[in-house]
Amino acid sequence: MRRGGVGDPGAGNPTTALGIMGLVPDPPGEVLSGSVLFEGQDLLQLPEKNMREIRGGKISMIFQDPMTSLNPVMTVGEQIAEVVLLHSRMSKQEARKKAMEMLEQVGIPGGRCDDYPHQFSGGMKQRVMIAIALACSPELLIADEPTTALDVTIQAQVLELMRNLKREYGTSLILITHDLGVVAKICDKVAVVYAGEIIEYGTLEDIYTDKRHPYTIGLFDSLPDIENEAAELKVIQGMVPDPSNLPEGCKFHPRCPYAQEGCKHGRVEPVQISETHMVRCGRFRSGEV
Amino acid sequence: MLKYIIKRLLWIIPVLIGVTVIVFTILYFSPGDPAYLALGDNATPEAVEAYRVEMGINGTYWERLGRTLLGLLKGDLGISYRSRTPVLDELIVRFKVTFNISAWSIILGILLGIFFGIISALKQNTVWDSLATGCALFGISMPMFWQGLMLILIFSVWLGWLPASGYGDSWKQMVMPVIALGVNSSATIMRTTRSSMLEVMRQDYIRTAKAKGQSYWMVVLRHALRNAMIPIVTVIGLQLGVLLAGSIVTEAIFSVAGVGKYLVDSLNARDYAAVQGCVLLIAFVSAILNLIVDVIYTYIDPRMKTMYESAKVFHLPKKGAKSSV
Amino acid sequence: MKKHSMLSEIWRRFRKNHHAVVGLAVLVLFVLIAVFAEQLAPFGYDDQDASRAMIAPCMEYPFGTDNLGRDVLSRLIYGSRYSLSIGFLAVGISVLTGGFLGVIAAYYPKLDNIIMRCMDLFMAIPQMLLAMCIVTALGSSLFNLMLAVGLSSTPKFARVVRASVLATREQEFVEAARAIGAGNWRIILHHILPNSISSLIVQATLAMAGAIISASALSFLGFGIQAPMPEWGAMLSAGRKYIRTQAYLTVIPGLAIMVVVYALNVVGDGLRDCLDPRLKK
Repeated sequence: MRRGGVGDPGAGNPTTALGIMGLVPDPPGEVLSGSVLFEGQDLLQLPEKNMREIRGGKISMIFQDPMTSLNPVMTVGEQIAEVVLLHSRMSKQEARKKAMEMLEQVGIPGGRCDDYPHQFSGGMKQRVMIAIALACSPELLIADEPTTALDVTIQAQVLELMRNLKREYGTSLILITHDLGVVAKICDKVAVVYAGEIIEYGTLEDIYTDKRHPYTIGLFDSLPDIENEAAELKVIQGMVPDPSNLPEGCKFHPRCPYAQEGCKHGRVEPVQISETHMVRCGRFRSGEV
Repeated sequence: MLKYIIKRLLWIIPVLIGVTVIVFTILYFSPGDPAYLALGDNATPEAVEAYRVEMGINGTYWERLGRTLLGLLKGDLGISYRSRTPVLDELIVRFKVTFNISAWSIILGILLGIFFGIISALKQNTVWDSLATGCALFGISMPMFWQGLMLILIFSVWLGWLPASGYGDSWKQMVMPVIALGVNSSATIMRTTRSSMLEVMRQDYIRTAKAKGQSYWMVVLRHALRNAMIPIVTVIGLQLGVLLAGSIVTEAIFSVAGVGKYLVDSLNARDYAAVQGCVLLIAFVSAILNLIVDVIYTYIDPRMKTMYESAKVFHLPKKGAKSSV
Repeated sequence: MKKHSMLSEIWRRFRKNHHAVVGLAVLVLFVLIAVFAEQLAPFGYDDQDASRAMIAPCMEYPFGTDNLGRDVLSRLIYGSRYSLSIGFLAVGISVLTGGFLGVIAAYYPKLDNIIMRCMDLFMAIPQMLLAMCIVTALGSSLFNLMLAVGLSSTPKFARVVRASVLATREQEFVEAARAIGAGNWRIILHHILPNSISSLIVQATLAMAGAIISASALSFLGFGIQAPMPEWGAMLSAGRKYIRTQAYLTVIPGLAIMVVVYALNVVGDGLRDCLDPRLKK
């Protein structure tokens, strides 16, 4: 299963991912309520010790900026071997061998395992990050904008690599991105997130051909259209709300072209509009649409 | 790498020559004639001349400077006006004392400084942090000589636990000089450790390490500290120089017969050959220590090593490699 | 107008740091004490009176009297003039000399190597040693002590200024100034220095603390200001003989040095936090 999360910057996507991993920086952040269910366990209730076994072992994560995500004073081999040593009973030699294998897997010659991160390019560093993330064959891989910091040509290569490895390792993938093209390329299901909430969720097809939430519609409308050379791009009016000062009622109502009096108060519950398609908008509750 | 070390070692030679010229010139223009000082104001011109020849301080500025530099190249630092013995011999005896005290001090400074720096950074904005940073600020604000005197006041005068002066009879005599010197360094090292750790703990690779499932303390020690060490090593290198200078004051307070006390006595007695020897020795030792620190760098920070190695290939000036520290 | 708002912004940020504000208040207090020493001191700094020698701190003599019957409080009050003026002027000397050399080195690549190698030579001699040698050569007086302490930290400032100018001159607005035909010195004075000034101010404040310690250490060792001048380091040195019987003679002048240096360090730290853009969150 591949799921993609799409949304504005600041919409709360990366924070949710860190929340799953129990890595929300504290201070300023703290997870107050809710639960993260993984294989029947609530990860938020797990003690730190058990959580450490899951991090990097069963769930691993790829971060946005490969330039700063690798430790500059350790060889890439050491950094891959570290996660292997933490989650398996391999000896140091075996871990090193595994590290070289993983490098080969992501398309880097194994002989470079004694090189330091500064000797690699950005795309190669992200490959190393992928190698670290997949080294323990995790059940779930969370990728937080894994290609944003890379050149367009490298982006395609890295995405291709992730797609192939995912298939090979049978890993589920949560991909967080702002790039609708990337979503279309590798995701099966898409969750559109606004102000920390999923506002629309469905299969790739649901979202791309049958989008319902005004925000999702606005998001797709803001894409430049190659065929129709309009001079101006359509944009969603207004700004993403400050996460510490969210509007009451529907979080989107100040920017929503369809907003009504009822949208300004009370919690908007999600509505199931087909077996796979969920949307969180007051207009569907009242059966207006 | 070896080539780099050799280059740096060779660079010490012109530095020592330059230091000699500077110190010699400053002292040459100092008031007070060592010959009259040694022989008394009523000495005959012949006696004065004979004394000057014996000590090698006759002739013009250039003759004397040339003689001094030639002597330096041969490893001869001249003769002490006071004791009429070779300065080098006097220095070697005393340097052992100074080195011993300084070495213990820097060890104390590093251990205390890094330990409290880490604690303070990890417990940022807690009582422990305020306490540690407050103490460190007091540490760097306390004049070393006053701190030494206060130690004497407390541990010798009031408590009577430790002897107030001397060196070599008992380990107890070392305790106060080492604390006086080391506490000052530890305060500076602590402040650097704290800010460096705070900076490093915010980095993305720390998050990566946590995402691997590494335990908190392993993240701190294995990932954070190694990166934080880079500026800490710089400061330790600088502290070594400060420590050598600080030994002047400390040795004067605790009457320890080391290089520092020798220097003060020599300056007061206008024994310029000895002064020059002391300054040269300290400059030489600092240069060697700086080199060692720079080599340690390359072990901590692989980026530096690449830089030195590429400097070898592309003949980049040494300055370029250093200024990016 | 813009300058004004920048200053008030700095002050607004500085004010948040309570330690630094207290430090600043202490410094202002000491400056006032130094300026109004005549009015504040109950006695002269060299009023000797054998009949009241070695009186421990009491109501009449809050900090006691020394072996010659001089009032320690009055001497401390007059002594603040020495410490503060040495700190201020010595750093002034090193900022001017070091700043000049640093700007030249950064701006004229031909001179860069020569100047910086020379600075390296001076840096090879620990600051304290250099100051001791200079003050020996010049003879001990207040001015020579300042000069020695100031000159001995010239290389440090030359380095700081050079690095900061080198960093600034690569920036676009300097290119722009050059493009409209501004001369080297105009660029240095109008564009580069104002942008390097914040790191210089921070360094200068911290260096002032260092200068006060060095100067008092030199006086303590007998190389600086001599008796009967009430310099704090010299007072400490004189009081040291009586540490077993009249400890206050060593404790009190040292405390005075420490308070001033502590205040300078806190203010320096506070300034760095609010001026140094690298530390901005």
